[in-house]
Amino acid sequence: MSGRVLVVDDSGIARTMIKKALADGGFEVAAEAQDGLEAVDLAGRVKPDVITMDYSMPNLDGEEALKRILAVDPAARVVMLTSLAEPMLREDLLKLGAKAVLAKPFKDEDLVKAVRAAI
Amino acid sequence: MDRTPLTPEQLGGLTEVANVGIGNATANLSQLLRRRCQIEVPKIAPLDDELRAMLAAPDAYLAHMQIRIAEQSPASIFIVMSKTEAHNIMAAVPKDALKAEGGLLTAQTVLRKVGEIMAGSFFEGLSQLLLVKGNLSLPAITVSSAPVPLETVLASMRKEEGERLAIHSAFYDREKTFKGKFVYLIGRDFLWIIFKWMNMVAGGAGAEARP
Repeated sequence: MSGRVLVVDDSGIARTMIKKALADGGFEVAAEAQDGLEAVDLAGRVKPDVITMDYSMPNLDGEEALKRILAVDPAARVVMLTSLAEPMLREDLLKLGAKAVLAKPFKDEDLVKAVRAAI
Repeated sequence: MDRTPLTPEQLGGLTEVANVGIGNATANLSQLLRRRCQIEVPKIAPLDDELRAMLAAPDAYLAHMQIRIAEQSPASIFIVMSKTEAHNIMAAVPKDALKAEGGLLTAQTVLRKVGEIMAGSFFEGLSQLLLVKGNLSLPAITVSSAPVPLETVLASMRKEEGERLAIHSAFYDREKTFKGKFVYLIGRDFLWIIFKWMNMVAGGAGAEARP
């Protein structure tokens, strides 16, 4: 295995797709979260190598979760996934400290490449 | 409360498809407006009186487009904005981004452009996610300031499809200067495409009950 990943997405089918892609890419899925609040909690407890974080989620969105995770652990590596991936959002998320921003829908190999590059 | 005949897994799959499609649509709107836009988590609901009232609101502008995926029967996309919100989005469009048609840029011409952009990118996002082909009948786009003849639209679709469902979500800019509704009206054909896709992704789940 080449790294432990926390998968964060409110959609079950999206998590399934991400987990399959990561497993095929040789990664271990350490845990999964369904919203930003759960992600912040699990990031502290699981200490993954990389977090894949959906942007649009109920309760706490991915942008706010990214800020909270990096406030606690500035070395955390977060790859953001969003269907709203326009240049302004990409720039804002990268400025906040995301390692990469991937547009949904994405190819499995692009996800694996982004996670690998983040480690 | 869930008012659809779908299982939680089917609703989840449909919501993710809606999220990708409407997210792609709103991302392109952001680029037109050069400001960040957001969406609410999409909702799935029957085409009930509440939705019909929204689509026929006398104080609203509506852009209507037809979309056909994988040679199935056409579905309809509506962009719904109150006249006030439509004027607000017109004011938000950078002056060099749109050329006025006939020299006059109106809320209706802007809404027509918004409809073209959002429907096109919604369709593209869906095609990429679901790995299906299709076509978008943009010439069918109409913008109406009167209650939309919804029943005419429904009658033009196949009658044997049974109950229709609506996927809908609000889109807005971060400054909240405007807010609109994106409504995608679907029938059984489209649901079947989604369930086949879910089956492919999840290895059986989701496709057992044909709608």
